[in-house]
Amino acid sequence: MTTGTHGEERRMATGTDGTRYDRWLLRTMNDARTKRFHASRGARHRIVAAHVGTTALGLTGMVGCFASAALWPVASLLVALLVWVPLTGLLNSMTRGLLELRVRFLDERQVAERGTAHLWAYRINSWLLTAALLGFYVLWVAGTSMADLAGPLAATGLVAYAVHRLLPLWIAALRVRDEPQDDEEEWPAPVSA
Amino acid sequence: MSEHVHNRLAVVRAERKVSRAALAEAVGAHYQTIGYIERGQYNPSLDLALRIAAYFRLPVEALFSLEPFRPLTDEVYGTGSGRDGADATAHTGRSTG
Repeated sequence: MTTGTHGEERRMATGTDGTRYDRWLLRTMNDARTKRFHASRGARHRIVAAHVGTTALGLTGMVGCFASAALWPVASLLVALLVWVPLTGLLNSMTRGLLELRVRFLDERQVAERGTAHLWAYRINSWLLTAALLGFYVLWVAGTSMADLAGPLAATGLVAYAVHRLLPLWIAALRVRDEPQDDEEEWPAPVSA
Repeated sequence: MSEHVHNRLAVVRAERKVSRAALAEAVGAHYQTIGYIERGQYNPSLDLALRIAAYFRLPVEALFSLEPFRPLTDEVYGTGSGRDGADATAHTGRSTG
């Protein structure tokens, strides 16, 4: 945002140059009614942990659907999905749409924060992928056949994709800091400076 | 060079009775960003600092400094440090922001 003009900044803040969906998303992500759910650091950490857990449960169910003919994987997948969707909404709410909004709807701090979350996610995911690659290489060298590795390879690919998509959101949520006390009630009508 | 930029944004904002949301909208920032700046958790770009200063119609050095600010009462009434007067403004003493 450092190169924008004052007019551009005003449009960014109010979202007046976006589509109807952009404006709706901006309003939704900044809805003050959800603040109380993630006002404290502990609450934010619990939400992230629950999201990681339900993601793991859902992925287990998804892999199980392909690996076995049993019904429990479908049930676990559906249960996980029911919890996962509102938790994802809470994560997006606590980050104020950091990863969902278009860049022009973010200010300079948010753009920098988004970059930091993506950078950390990239680094962590790179190490995870390297570890997975080495693990499969060791198994192959030890004599495991490719047919036996097909299932684990598919599961690892699915997990890697999920982590690639969700890790920036988890990191961004964990980096959120407590908001200062609202002062709007104290000064209901702003005085022109 | 200092990595921390001191500011007295909270003091000026309170004195002018401007909410974080109103200031944020006027300068094209998120209201959380104003809070982070006030708490010293985010250093604004020169562009944003100038826009905030322009909103309050103050020179940017009245709001932001690389050195801690003196209390406003010291600057106005010349008490405390003994370095009163216009020459001792803004760049020495204790922080007020």
